[in-house]
Order: sequence, then structure tokens, then C-alpha cells
Amino acid sequence: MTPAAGMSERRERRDARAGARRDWFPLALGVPAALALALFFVVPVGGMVAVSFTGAEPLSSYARFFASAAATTILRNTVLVAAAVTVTTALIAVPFCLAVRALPPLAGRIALLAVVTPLWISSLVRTYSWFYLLSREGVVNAALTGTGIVSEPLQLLFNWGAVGVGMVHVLLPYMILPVANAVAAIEPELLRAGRSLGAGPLRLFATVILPLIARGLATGGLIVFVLAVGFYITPIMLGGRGNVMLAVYVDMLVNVALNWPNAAAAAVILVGIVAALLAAAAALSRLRFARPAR
Amino acid sequence: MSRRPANLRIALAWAVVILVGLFVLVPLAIMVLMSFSTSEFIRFPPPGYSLRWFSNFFARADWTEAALRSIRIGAIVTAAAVGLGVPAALALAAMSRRAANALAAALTLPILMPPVVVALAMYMSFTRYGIAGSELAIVLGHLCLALPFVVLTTLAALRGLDPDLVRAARASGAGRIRVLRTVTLPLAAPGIFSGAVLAFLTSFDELLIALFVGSSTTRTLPRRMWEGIRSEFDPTVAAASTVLVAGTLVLGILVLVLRHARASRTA
Repeated sequence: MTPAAGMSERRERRDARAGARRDWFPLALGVPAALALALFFVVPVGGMVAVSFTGAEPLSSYARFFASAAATTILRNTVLVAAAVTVTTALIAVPFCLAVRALPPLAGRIALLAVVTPLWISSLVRTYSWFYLLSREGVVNAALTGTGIVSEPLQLLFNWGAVGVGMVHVLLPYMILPVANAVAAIEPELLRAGRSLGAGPLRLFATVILPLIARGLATGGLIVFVLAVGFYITPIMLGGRGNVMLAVYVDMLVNVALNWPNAAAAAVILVGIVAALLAAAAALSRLRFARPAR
Repeated sequence: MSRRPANLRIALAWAVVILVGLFVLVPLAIMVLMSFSTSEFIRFPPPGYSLRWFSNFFARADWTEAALRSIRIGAIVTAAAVGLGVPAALALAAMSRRAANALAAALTLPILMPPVVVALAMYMSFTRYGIAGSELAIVLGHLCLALPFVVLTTLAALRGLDPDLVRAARASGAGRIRVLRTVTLPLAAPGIFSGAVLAFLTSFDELLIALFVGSSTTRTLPRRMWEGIRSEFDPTVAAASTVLVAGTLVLGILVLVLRHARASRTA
């Protein structure tokens, strides 16, 4: 916040105190929205947490989750897949954004727009499009058999690879946006100074570029991981029976096993992962803020 | 710097940009192409081209009903989200920055929470409320996801306003409602508009709430597509997807043009 904005805000607040009538009116405007969110979001989520404790014993649904080899495998796979997807999107986004910076401005803008626009298209559609590439008579197999690399079409769908590719495709824009902002903010003088001091491209990347874009990468990584952990459409569509992620497991527990307490407990565990991550990120960024400015 | 490494750098940059661009756009382009295929199965290259899947999509009641329902739900959700969200943003703007920021952060919870969790929680409660399976249930569920977008974009727009404008209007004798109507809201309109677009898209694309709190008599378009992919392989899904991609692009271009027109008008 600029000092001027802070001052005008203080003045505004003084104005607000001066006119007693002004106090309740604006706040009352927020009541309908707050009521709607309370009734249809907060109470449902609270109710779900309560349901998770209604097994035979309060904690029996959780005990059952962690005692089940299937459930813990799903939990582990979910975290591993989300982590792998996060790293992969970062490995694509960083070179892409650096490349965009090296292009003429208009070409760079178009490239960025082309890669980020799919964010507006439904993720159901984006995942579905991979069917046409990966199925038995899809594009990839047509290319492989057509060029004689393989004689029989390969089974490319219904495995973790297909799930991973689909997730990276859907989530890549969320990584590119913050990284592109960070890359665009790098001062050209810093790069020129590094180069004139004799740093090669790798050294320049490791000592100048990477520290400057670390924050953007962390933001992108956090968003991608949080979204990836909760993925449902992609693992069902592109995965097989063995590629169950936690969100799919929650669905199975409530709609196939019809077990509300177990489903609620699995959902709370899923939220727990997200919440822990967000809390850790908030704590980390506070630490960074507390440090004196460079 | 010598010329050769610079050229090499540019060539490498082009290669990276083109590769990533292909990865992002080729699957969508191929799906659009295949939606014109004559084949009932996924076969590349397509044996022939036709509009049969499009005529399916536009003629079969199960598809048109689902599409119209999604448009209707999206419109109601957008109207409700703007109706509740804009006043809520005004309330946040009147609070101390600290309180407003804390509340704004809390508002992102419905968006950040895994969709399946939100859908499950709503399914359990809405069953108890006695509205599960109805269109109302889907509307209320989508509203919770759409509302934060409107509040946050409007709040950002309100914070960008010059407080002196409001003060000047008040000093010239305009009442509070009049200031709102003639100064604050028109100036915040671009933010409200982006929020409304996001609200509509959120509802229109949403699958999990529609699956959990909707029913087979309240099928939305995403739900119909999901069933078309999961139960039988129905190529009409590809035609529907192509229509969605085209619709989204048109909407996106419209937003850009409107924003541009506004920017050049105020400049």
C-alpha cells in the first residue's frame, strides 16, 4: 500500500466514525451473501466433518482409513502424483516463460495467450481431448504404427502416465501465469550485468534468474499441488482401475459403498492435506516478509 | 556479445515456445477435427467428414435439454452471485483493510477446497434440507463457488477507485444511494463484469456438484457429457465439446473487445 493510500484510508475511517449512520449500512449489505455461504457452504462442510465422527466410535472412520492398505496406498499415490505433476508443470513453465521473454514482444504475447487461454475451456473437455491422442486408433498410435516404430498399437490409456499427462495439460496454465509474471519482472540490467561478469547461461540461471522467480514458482507450485490433490475427472477418465486418487475414493465410499462416515473421513483427510499445505505456505511467506527487504 | 549465440538463443526460444504451444493446443485441435468424423469410434485419421454428431447434439432432447438447463442454471447463478456479491464487496470495502483481507482470504475457501469435498458436503446437507436432486440444489451449490469470484473482482475494482470522487459527489449533495448508482457502481462495472463472466463459466463447467446434488432428471451439460464418456462412448460428446470450445472462444473475444472498447473510451 502506498503511504498516500494509507492516509486516505485512515481519513476514510475517521469519516466513517464521524457519521454514526454510516457504520451499519455498508456492513448490512454483506449479510445476504454471508447467510448464503453459511447455509449452503459452511454448515454443509461442518456437517460433513461431524458425520466423519459418527462411526461405531468417534474416530473409527479415521482408524479404518489408516488401517486399510488400499486407502493408504491411494493416499500415497495421490500425494506422489500431485507432486510429480507439480514438478513437471514447473519444468515446462520455466523454460517456456524464459523463451517467451526472448521472443519479440508481440510473438511472446501471442504465445502466452495461446497457452493460457485453455484455462477458460472446461477441464472435462480438455481431459476428454486426450482420448483422441492416446486411444488404440488415436493419433499417437496411428503415428507409431504408420512409421513402423511399433507393429501393434500400444495401450496408452488407463495408466498413471495418461493420468499424469492429462493433469499436466489441465494444470499447466496455473503454473505459467505466476511464473510468467515473475520472469517478466526481471530487470534486463541484472542479466546483462551477470553476462558481462562472465556468467554462462547455467550460472546465470542458477544465481540470478532462479532466485528472482522463486516466489512465482512457489505460488504456481502451491496452486497446482492444491488443485492436483483433489483431481477427480482426469484419473477416472484417463486412468484404469489401479489409478484411484483420493477424490475418486471419496466418491466410491459414498456412492458405491454408501458409507457416509467413511466417505466424510476420507474427505476430511483430503482437506487436511490442502489445509496443511496452505498453512505452511502462509507461515513461510510471513517469514519472508519479516526479513528486512533486500 | 557475438551474433551467433544470440541467434541460437532466439532459435531455441522459438523451439521451446512452439513445442509447449503444440502440447497445449494439439489435443484440442484434434478433438475439434474428430468431432466432424463419420466414424462412431475413435479412428485417426477419420474415414470421412460429416455433421452427424452436431445434428445429434442440436436435435436430441437429452442433449438440448441438458444444454439449456446449464445455460439457465448459469444465468440464475450469475444473477444471484452479482446480486449478493456486489453488496458484499461494498461491505468489505467499508471495513478496515485488515478485516476485509481476512474475510477475502476466507472467501477463497470454496474455490480452493477439492470439488469432491464440497460436493459431498452439499450432498449430505441438501439431503437433510430436502432439496437434493432438484435444480435449486445445483443453483445453490454453484452459487457458493461463483459468489467469491464476484466479491473478489468487485472488491479489487472498488479499491482501485479514487475515494475523492465519492467524497466530491457527497459534498455536492448526492445521497448515499445516488452516489452508489451514479459514481461507485459505474466505475466498478468492469470488475463486476469480470466477476459475472467468471461466475457464469464456473457454473456452466461445473461437474461434481451437478453429479452429487443433481439427479438424472436435472442433468446439466457437463453431467450429460460425463455420462456420454463413461457409460457408452458417444461421439456426440466431441461435437458438444467443439461447441463449448467455440462458445468459450467467442465469449473470451467478446470480453477482450468490450474491455478494449472501454479502455479506449476512458483514455
